[in-house]
Amino acid sequence: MKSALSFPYTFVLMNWAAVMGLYHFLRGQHCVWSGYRSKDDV
Amino acid sequence: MRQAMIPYIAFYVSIVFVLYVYLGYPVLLWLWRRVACRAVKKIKSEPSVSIILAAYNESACIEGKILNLMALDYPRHKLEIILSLDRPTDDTESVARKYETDRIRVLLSKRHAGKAEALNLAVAEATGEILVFADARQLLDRSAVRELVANFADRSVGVVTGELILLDRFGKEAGDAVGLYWRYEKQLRSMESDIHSTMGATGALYAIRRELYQPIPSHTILDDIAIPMNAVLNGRRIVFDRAARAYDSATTSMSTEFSRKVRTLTGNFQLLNQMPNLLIPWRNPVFLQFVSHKVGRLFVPYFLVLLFASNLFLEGAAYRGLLFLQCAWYLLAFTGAIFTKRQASVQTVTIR
Repeated sequence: MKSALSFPYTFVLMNWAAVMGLYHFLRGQHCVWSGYRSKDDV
Repeated sequence: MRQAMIPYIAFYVSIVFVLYVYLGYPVLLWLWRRVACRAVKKIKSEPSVSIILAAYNESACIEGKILNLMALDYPRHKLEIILSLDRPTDDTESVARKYETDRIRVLLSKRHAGKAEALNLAVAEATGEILVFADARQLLDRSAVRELVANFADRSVGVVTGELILLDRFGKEAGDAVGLYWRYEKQLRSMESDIHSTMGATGALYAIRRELYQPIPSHTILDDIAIPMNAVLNGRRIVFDRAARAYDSATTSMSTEFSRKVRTLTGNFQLLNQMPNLLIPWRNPVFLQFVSHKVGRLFVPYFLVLLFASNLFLEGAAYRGLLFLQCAWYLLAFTGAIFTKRQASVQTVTIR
């Protein structure tokens, strides 16, 4: 049940991330990242 | 008549695009590998190696990482560890200085200028024939460096990327949605590697020939793609070696994974801006793979919207069935969002 819900949710969220990625890039906000992954990142 | 065709064209273009990115491309790779596999002949060798670790505020894990690197199965006199510290504001520097020797060097940037600058600084100081890049958090297998360098016996290889294994809280390879995605991604990398090159490396562990390193611009987000892809543009391969392993814990929070993905995808747009040659077929030997793997995903969300919108205008039982499936998919996603948020709030309450 959990995976049946989490898979579509993850898919939609990751695609939304692509839209947000374009938004951040166009706004020139890529400088807010220093390049280091945060402690919780993969 | 022509206007009536527009929703059909939009629908089929969208569905073909989305299916190609997620299913067609892997199938194409699978077939391509069957007819044109270029396996790398690994030969055990021991060239001089510089391990480069750029770090900012990593006081929680830097000591464990240094000990992990010191325990690597590689001749001491051929191994140099460079800790390039980007003006940390916590105890990272004092911890690193405790281990400073002639083989473990600590460099301190003049100002906090980002990971790209810290890497450029470290490479300028490195003396090894092979540069190995690693992140502060992930732990490496003892044999990881030995496995990586064995690939450089093949002159066509410019970069070797190791395998990052995500572990769940039980110490097994993660099997949740993020873990499954990561396994799918690694399968793609493996097939791409067998054909020519993977589209970048994993920042947790990869190696490059010293002479192929080109300094990267400040504020580069995806150094682990920019540095290897420069090697590909210079005619070398990036290969994926599953015997060289790094381990990390799988992300437990979906919001953290989302932030990571936004960062990565912003980095992909930045990469296209910084390295336009990647989009020129006669300059990029892996143009088709790059466009299919990296660029395609940037456009999938817009085609998903187009797919849904065009489906609304199509008549017939089959189209209605597909519309129903799309609605069900997004309803499940919406339910999943509520479920995940509730679960997170329950966990927060429990922790408090």
